[in-house]
Amino acid sequence: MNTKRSITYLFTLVLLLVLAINGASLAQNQVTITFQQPWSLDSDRGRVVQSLIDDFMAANPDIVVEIRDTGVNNEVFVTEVLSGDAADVVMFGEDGVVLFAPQDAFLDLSDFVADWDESKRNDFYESVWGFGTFEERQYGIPWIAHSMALIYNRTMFEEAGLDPDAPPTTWEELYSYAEQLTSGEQYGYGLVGLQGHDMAWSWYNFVRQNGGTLATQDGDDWSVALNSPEALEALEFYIRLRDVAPPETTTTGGGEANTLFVQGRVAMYVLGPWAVAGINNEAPDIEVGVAPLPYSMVPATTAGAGLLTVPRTTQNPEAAWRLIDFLTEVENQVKLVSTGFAFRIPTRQSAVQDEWFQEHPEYIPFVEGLSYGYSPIVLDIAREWSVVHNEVVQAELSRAFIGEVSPAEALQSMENSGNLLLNR
Amino acid sequence: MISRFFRRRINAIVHEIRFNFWPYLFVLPALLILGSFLIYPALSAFRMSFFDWQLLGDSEFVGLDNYLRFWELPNVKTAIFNTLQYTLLNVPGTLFASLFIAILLNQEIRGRAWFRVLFYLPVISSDVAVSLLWKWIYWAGERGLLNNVIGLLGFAPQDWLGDPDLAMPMVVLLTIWKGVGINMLIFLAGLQAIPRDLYESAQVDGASIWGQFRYVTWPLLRPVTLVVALLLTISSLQVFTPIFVMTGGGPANHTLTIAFYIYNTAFRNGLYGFAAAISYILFGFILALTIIQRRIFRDVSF
Repeated sequence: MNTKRSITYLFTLVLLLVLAINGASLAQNQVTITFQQPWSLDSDRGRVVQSLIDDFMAANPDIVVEIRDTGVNNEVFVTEVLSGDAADVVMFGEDGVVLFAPQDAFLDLSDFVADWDESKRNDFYESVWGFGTFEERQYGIPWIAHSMALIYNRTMFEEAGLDPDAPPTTWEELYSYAEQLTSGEQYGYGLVGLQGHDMAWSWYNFVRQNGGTLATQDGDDWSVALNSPEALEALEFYIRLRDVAPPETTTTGGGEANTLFVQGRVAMYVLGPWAVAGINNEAPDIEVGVAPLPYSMVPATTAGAGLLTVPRTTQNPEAAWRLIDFLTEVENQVKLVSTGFAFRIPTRQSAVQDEWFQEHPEYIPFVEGLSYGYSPIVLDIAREWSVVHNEVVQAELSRAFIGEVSPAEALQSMENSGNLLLNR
Repeated sequence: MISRFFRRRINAIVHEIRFNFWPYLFVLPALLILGSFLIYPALSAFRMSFFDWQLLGDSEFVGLDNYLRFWELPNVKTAIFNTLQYTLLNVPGTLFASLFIAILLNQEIRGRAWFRVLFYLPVISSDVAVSLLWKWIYWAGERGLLNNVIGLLGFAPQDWLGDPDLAMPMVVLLTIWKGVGINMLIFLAGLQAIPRDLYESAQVDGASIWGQFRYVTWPLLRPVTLVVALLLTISSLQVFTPIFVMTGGGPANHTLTIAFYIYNTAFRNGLYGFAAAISYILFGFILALTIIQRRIFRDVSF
């Protein structure tokens, strides 16, 4: 072997070692935090998250962020918190926040929020901001959100002699439009009639649009408020919509309603922003129109959010907060939701001024929907309500829908059985 | 005295392991996997059933409360009733369908092996995939596959899974189709164990086909029939996937079964203690049923 060459190799090796040691000592001034989010890093969405994190690290050389992309699962999260292995920033739906905040799983972020510029805090839609609040403390910062809107087929509108730029705005218009859009194998409205969560929130929309509410508080006691004239009208209207919905409506959930629209079987239905992206993907020929939900008294829609939380086990709350602060900047929210498959919307009001929304006005109704958005969960009594919602409301709703009981009887049972559960 | 007893037991175990080291080593991986993913969770669920279990924070010990008060939970009676209904439809349904097909496929017919494979295919198909497929078969309205077929015969389309009276029988029909293969196999084994000369002498005595079945096949198949009935009852009491995929317990809870109810109670409603207690009640029920059926089985003369 050539001696000269081996000396060169040796020299290079020593040099590399020195550099590595230097690098390691440099890294000592850095903190490493973990960010747990639901999208796999080799998916399109995961790659956007990765590029956001790269931007963050470039702007904050003292913080290294490791992304954990194993999804966010309640049981796994509990195990991680108990074993001290939870990430420093975790994205949760509002159901996760209200489940774990009372159990002291999260750091209270109120003091960090107080340090924010007021214009940033006030730019968040109040509805989704409230999803992260528990007993007046802030445990989650809404990152991305969704609301529901009326999605319709513009071509079918034209064929039925309806103006695609003037979608229905009231219940009566919704019904009469749907009637005109029903002919042969085409139906006006993709009604959700499969017993379950989708059917319940679909009906809650009508209850709230009619001025009703889900539960009321009297002192410390909560009671079911669904046995009201407003809710009764809403239920009667919901059942009436069966006349303009396809016969398979009793086995139609939210996903199936979407399929019916993509197949050109229904002209209108209600779903979130992901549906629009999905239709553009699967059926690019359909000319999609999006409008705020029609209502009878007050505008209202179901909403949900992905919130950024900091588990209390974190060693680096400052760094975690700086990441949250960065991710909730408008341009980063828009970047996340708009790249590729636009599935959610930003949580901040100024987002609609972003160029992307000017190019995609069909997403604006979803953003604006957040100004009158409600969670289908009664957040203050999330655990108790989930039993009422799953065991009582969904079953009674289904019973009324298939005509086993009258709407009034169904609401009476919701009140009786629901209150028993709330006061257990 | 007691310590000597235990010392002797331990010595016996050590002795056993020393002399059968290799076999124990070979079962160790399976034992570890079953231990951590089956036995340990089952035991911790048993512990959970005595607590008002919280995912985080302190779980409160409530003694037998979950066992005594599960009756007060909404829909629990409906779930029990529906599960019994499902069992009463599914056990005889699958049993007789499998027996019938097994007898047919025990004859010398052309393509017998192919038919056996065809009937067995649903068994190895994924429960979820099959349930989705049948959901489309049952699709209401004129587009549903089944509705199309009965439409050709001149019947009006039905809302198979949306009609409270039809939904459960339709779910049962799917499980019969899915379960026929494996039970047919058990019956086939039983049929082939019946000596041929019994049929020959029956024929000599002038027995008809029905007579041969009634007085030779059926009595000699009794032990097999009991095994099939037992297995079917156990699986019927635990039915979950088709309900989860096809109906979500609807319409109006008409297909809500105990297993699906346990899932809801734990993972949707967060009542882990109650869910664990109901699981153990179901376990006790299945255990009791198994013991009774084993008793009957033992008394059967071969």
